[in-house]
Amino acid sequence: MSDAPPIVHVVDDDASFLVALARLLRAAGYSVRTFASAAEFLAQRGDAAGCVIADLQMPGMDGLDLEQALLREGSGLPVIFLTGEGDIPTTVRAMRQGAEDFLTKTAPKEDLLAAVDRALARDARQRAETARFRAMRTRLDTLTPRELAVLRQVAEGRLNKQIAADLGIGERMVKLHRTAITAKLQVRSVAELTRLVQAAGLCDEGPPDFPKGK
Amino acid sequence: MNWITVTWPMVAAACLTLGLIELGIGLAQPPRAARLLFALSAFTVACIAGLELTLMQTDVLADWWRAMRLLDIAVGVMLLSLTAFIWVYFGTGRKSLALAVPVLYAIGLAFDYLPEAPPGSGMTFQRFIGFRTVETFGGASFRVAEGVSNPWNLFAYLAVLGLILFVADASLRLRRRGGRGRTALVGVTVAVFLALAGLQSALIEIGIINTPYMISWIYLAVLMAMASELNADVLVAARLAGQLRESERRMDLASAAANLGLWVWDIRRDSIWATRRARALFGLSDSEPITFPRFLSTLHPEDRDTVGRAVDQAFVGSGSLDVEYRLSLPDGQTRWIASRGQVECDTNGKPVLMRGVVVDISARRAAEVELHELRTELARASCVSMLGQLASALAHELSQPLGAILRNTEAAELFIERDPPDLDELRAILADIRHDDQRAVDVIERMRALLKRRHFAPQALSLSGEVLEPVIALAQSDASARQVRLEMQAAAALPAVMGDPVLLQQVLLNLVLNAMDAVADRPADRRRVRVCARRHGEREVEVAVTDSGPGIPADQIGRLFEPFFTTKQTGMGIGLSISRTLVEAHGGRIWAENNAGEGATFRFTLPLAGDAGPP
Repeated sequence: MSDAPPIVHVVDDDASFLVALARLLRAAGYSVRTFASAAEFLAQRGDAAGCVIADLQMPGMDGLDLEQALLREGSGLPVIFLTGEGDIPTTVRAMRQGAEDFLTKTAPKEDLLAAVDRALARDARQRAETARFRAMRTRLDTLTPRELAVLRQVAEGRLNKQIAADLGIGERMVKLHRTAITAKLQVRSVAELTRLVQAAGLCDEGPPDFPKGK
Repeated sequence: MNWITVTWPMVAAACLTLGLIELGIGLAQPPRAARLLFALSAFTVACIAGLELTLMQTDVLADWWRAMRLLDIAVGVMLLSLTAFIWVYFGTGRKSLALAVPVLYAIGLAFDYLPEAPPGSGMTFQRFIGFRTVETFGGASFRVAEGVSNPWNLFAYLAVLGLILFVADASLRLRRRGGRGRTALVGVTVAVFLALAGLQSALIEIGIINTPYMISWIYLAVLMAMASELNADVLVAARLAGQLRESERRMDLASAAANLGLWVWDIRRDSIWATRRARALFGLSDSEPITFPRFLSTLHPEDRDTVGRAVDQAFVGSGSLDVEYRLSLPDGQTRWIASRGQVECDTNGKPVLMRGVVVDISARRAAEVELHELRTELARASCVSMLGQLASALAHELSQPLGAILRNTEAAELFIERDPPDLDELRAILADIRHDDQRAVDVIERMRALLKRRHFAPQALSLSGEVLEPVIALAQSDASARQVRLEMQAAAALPAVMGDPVLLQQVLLNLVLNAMDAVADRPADRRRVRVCARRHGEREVEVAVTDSGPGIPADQIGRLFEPFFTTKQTGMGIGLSISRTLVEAHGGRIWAENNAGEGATFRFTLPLAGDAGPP
């Protein structure tokens, strides 16, 4: 993961508003990229960290279409919608799709910047989580199939004796495997191990939005 | 006392009565000369009847002789007056014949006044012999003088013959000329009776028949024939007068029912006659004389020139007047009057008379004004509802510049905090703020123009610049929000049209919004609305709004423009009917048709500004 600063992506068909908003965000200290349409944004966005501020009403692909396209691509980039006048059905649909925030174009600066900060924070959190998860996954990949099988049973809270009986190996062998696992995964306690296994999706349900990788 | 002494005075009395009646009428109304001559002859016949009675009763030669000579004079006067009457009344007699009558008679009459004539001699007898008494029916008796006939008496008969010829000739000529057939017939009757009278007195004088002189009787018949002719006119006049009164009563009734006032303007004397109703409309008393300036003074000051011009126009042009104007009544109220008239000219073509009607049209005017206000109100209401449909798009349209201004201002506040402040950036920000402010003003201006309440104010205008572009600009954001491709296509160098830009914008906006509704159910890439303007024939420009929707069901296409007819779930059905009213008020037409491919097209036409179309 790069250490580049998060980028606020602004998408609006109104050039004037686009410039003004970008100006404010830059003056407030954010890195900003502007796009004149949803299509332009989708084509050029890269995978920089940050968030999206999009006009809800745009010719061609509108704000909701953009959000859906992002979801289809598996991007967790938070989207803040801006609208001239929020009507309830559109708002509901936007929020249901997971919009980070919903603001009118003339909303106070404080609300806007707070929304941007929240969105960036959420993105950072999501990205950190993903990074940690990826690292864990890499470590899990170093385990042998036998070690993985032992790990699953340990995570389920079974005793060494039970695991040995289950797998048809000696109890000593189980202990040897557990030592190897804790060394490879760099964990110290069984509790930590259990949490890790759950997070890595070795149990029945994995995290719902796990990115399939790039 | 016998029937003779009774009937002759009756004849005399009848003649006197006829004469007096005709004298009375003759003094008052034409044909005066004819009537006075008739009266004269009637009085003469009355005298003749009296003299005849004397002749029949006296046995004193001196009395008889005096009466006889008077009778000859009376007959002469009567012949003369009859001749003159026919001359005057028929107007077709021959002068030679007319002059022959008195000349011939005068020759005969001269024998009555020969010096040293023996008593009893004269025009009738050369020598008087004596009286004899004749018994006649009814036990009555009368005296007859006997004598030797005077051959010169022939001249008197020639005079009568001359008169007969004169009358007959005059009658025939009148008839040939196509004159009054009745008059000619009367002339013939007069001639026949004259002949009878001459014949009878001739037979008496020759001694062939023993009857009293009945000249007066026969002339009474002549007089009655003449009187019937003369007074036929009077009878006709009386009947006409009756019909006229009836007709006047009908006219009064009709004019009262229609609230019409009648007027006649004698232009040379500048005197206006007007019925009471007309006077009442203008607030004039029944007795006040009216002149044209006085009439003008009752008018609303602003309308005086208009009326003056309309009157001048009637004098020099069509000859007819048709003008509507206001009166300023003394109580400060205003009354609307329609005045229609026709000029009559003399033989030189100079206007001498104008007659016409006035009618109070205040109620109609008030209704028109009210209707116009209602229509304007309805048009405005429909406009408000259209803007309501656009509201969310318009709010978006406004929030763009307002949002941009706000962000720019906030950015400027941050820039100004820096040390040193970034002046270039601040300048750019201020320029952008100014630009966005203008954008916001434009949006508001467009809405305001549509909402402004105002009257129909046609002017020469550019369709694409003043109607199409503002409407497209207004509807564009709505089109974007609804993902409709809205295009405009105006022919280059489109000629100016006559119209009220705001009302035409309203018509077009309505059609565009309808078209966008029509394509709402199509897939997003097939929602198209196109507005085209092009010249249509020599005198019109056509605006077409074409959509790619499902088209109009054939059975509804004819009813689209009816009030309260709608194909939409939530429509009121007033938009298109108002559009039609507005387009027709501009002198144009509006209609709808289905396209060959998909969708429908609504078209309306407007007359070019060069053509002086309807207001």
